[in-house]
Amino acid sequence: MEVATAEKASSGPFEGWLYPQWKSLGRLARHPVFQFGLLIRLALVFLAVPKVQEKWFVPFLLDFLRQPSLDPWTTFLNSGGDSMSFPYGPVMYLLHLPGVALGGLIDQHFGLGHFFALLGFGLTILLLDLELMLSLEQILDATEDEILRYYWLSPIVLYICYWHGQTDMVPVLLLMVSLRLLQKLHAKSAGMVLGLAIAAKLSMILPAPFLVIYLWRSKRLSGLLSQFMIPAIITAALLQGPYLLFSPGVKVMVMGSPEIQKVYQLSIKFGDKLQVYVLPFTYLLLLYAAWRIGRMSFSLLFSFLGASFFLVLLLTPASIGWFLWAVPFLVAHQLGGGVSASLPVYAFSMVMIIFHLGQSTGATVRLAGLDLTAPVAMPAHLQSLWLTGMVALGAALAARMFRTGVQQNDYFRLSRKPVAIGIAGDSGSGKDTLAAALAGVFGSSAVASISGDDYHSWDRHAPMWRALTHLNPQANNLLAFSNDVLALMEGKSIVCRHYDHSSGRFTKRRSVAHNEVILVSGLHTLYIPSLLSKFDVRLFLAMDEELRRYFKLRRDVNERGHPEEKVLESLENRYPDAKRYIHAQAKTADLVFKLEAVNREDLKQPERPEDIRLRLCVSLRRGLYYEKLIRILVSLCGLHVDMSIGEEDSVVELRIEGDLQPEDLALAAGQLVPHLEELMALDARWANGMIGLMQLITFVEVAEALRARGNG
Amino acid sequence: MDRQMEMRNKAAFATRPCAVLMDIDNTVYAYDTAHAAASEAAMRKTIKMLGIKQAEYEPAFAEARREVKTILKETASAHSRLLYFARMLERLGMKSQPLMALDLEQTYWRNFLSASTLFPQVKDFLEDLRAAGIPVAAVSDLTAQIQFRKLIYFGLDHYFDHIVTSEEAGVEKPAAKPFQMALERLSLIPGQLVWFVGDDAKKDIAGAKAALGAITLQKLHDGVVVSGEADAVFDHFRELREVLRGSV
Repeated sequence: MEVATAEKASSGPFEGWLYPQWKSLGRLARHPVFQFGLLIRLALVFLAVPKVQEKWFVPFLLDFLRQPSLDPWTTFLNSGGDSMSFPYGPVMYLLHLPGVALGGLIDQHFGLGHFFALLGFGLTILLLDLELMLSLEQILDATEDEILRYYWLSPIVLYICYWHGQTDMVPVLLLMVSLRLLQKLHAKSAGMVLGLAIAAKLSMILPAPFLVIYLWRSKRLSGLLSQFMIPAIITAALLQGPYLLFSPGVKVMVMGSPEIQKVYQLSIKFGDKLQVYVLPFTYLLLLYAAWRIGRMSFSLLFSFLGASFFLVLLLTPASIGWFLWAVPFLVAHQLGGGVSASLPVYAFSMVMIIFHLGQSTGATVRLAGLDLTAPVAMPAHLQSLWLTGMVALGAALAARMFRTGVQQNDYFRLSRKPVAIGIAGDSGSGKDTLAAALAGVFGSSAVASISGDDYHSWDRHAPMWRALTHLNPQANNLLAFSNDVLALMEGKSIVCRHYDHSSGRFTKRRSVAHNEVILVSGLHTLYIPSLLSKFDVRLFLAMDEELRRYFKLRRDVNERGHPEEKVLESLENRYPDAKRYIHAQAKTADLVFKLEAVNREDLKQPERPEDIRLRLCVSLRRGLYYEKLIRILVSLCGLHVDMSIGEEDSVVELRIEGDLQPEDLALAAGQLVPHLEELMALDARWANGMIGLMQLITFVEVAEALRARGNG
Repeated sequence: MDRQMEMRNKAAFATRPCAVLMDIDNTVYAYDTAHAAASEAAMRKTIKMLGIKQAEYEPAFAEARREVKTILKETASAHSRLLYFARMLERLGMKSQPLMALDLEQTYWRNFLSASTLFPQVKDFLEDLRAAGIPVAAVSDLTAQIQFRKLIYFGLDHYFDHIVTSEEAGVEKPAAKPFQMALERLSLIPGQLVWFVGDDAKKDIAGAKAALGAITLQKLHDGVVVSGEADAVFDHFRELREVLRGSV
């Protein structure tokens, strides 16, 4: 079997970032909605001076010009600075420094107060804002129109970043970049960027355990766990650690920040002296829930993080900047959700802004000389009402985000119940080859295989075979077979003996661990009614009779060492049973593969099996996807496909011919199965030729069946 | 807030067209990105298969391509990737390698297709035309085999009433032949009002104007040279749909 080799250059983790992204800015720039949003932003940056920036951030950063220091927190405090000024980490400092320092130098030169320094701060936010939009467009695979509507015009972003003036854009952007890298399986870089996010703002440590659980609980991804965690810890520790340990300024300004105390503000009294803190309590429950879900798809991870952040927001008198954390998730929620998704988001945004206008500081308006920095005066009762509205809307949104996330999660279905694929077919029809090929696609670490041959009643040398053929159900322990398969489907491991084809004897019993994908192959896989309904995908392998004889002769004589006359004789003896017990199973299959020789003349040369050109006939019983399949096979893979509707209603028959390389299949799978990365092995092995085609079609059928499982 | 497209000849768009003719490559999808991804993939594969260096591949391919183009001039086969790769393998001293050449051709096209995306709202525009009962023909260079594969890949095959390729016309745009063939197949006569939508200033815009006196609309994006004589230029098919709505 050949391994699909990546044709593309080994793309670095950051490929597609920055340069191509900013190139696409040229395209966006022509969009009227973009221009409108940019105009609002520029107007706010030039006209509004947020109090938090004027009073805290900018004076702190400008201290660099007076006394450059490796520990600006301590130097700032020692020279009498306000301890509330900058409760953030070094990454936040470094990102904002260039803009503010440059502005500060211009101010010094012209004696302009803090005009350009503040402008530098505002424009830095604007750049990060743009980058976050472009990143989200990629992560969420959103169209230009969608990302502009849901992100660029988001009132929350405008209010928090440009009026109130918070700088949470930095950690949110870094978290999103980290998620994007994780989605692309660049675990090391994802970890490093998450470390940077934590080094920008300590509270970014909150999402980290969710990412760890996501990797840890997936059989496919758990190998990436240490690759992710080590760089994350090293980056965060190197950048943040020295400050936390040795800087007296950081101890006061970051660790002693009133933000941290907010974690404990909402609590339930527990007896006289004790209390249960609601936020840590909820957070722990959410972590437990994430762990219990087990294997998550990336989109579920995304929804789960979003819903969790939301709950955390609602259960603490959270700093207003935290609401920015929810924005990417709100954008994701609105994609494809229509008005029924957007309306609650807008309502929430407006209520949240109104509530915070009464709670948080605002800005001064430059040219008009208006001072709107003080929170708007509102009676406490009215404020509480707005708060109640915000919490109610937010809780409803969180519940909906969680629900849609779960509904869209292919793997959520898989984690409750493994996917079971039943493969039946006559002896020599290629069941084992196909099962091995399928294990190559799903990944052998995610597959449990069980073969009907292990359940033959007697070994080859037993006298009973003179009376019965293997094809006769009575010659097989089908009850044990069926019980073992059902046990695997229920997530239990089994112990079974193994039939060795070369010696014709049974080997020692061995255990088969349950797994995410169960491959059941055998002569009678689809014969047992109680099993039949339990399979997600029922496959029957047929083969043109002449071709089957050709292959069986070659296999049994050359590989298994039987005499040729005996093989021919047994073929004759078996035919009645094959017809009665085996071929009849094809009617119950969702998918029938039948190989035939393109040219029967080829079969007259037994010494050159590799020269036989094969054609695959496929019968699809429930595949409405055949249309798309034909398109991709013809256009992308350059194959020849004949389609007809079979004699039975709604069975579609395809006859497929042509040369096929593993690379064709890898690309075709990507087109046919959305989110395939959640179903496929990291190092999926596609075969070439017709086996590869069977892999592809089975893979698509499985994805369809999983989707149907969710709807059913 | 929707921006209007630049209409240089407003009067031309007051009347409903009898048919719309369209170019495919770089008009309904961006050619350059797809071509770059495909060329890269074919190059990597060759380098790996033959164990050569990029510095050997590049001139050999460029020379092979130039050679094929010089001999075949303005015909569909002059674009044949198969011929380029076959000739390149020969130039690299491999003699004829039909299997390898076919493999490289398929490598090129599968990567080409999977790296190409339709421009937004192309399908909506074609649906609008169908709803308005205006027939549509594709007039495009290159061989039929790959052009058909592209249309199938994009799911556009059902939208076009007729497809004319330079392979069957025997000559490429801006020659009048392919345009005239499309007109004949649509059972129209010269002088009836048709629109031509394309990207290339010379081949599409000047060609359609000269051959049919068509109303010409140029699709603009990165890398397109703006035509001075197009009746309208547009960036987004949204704008084209607006104009269509105005004229039917």
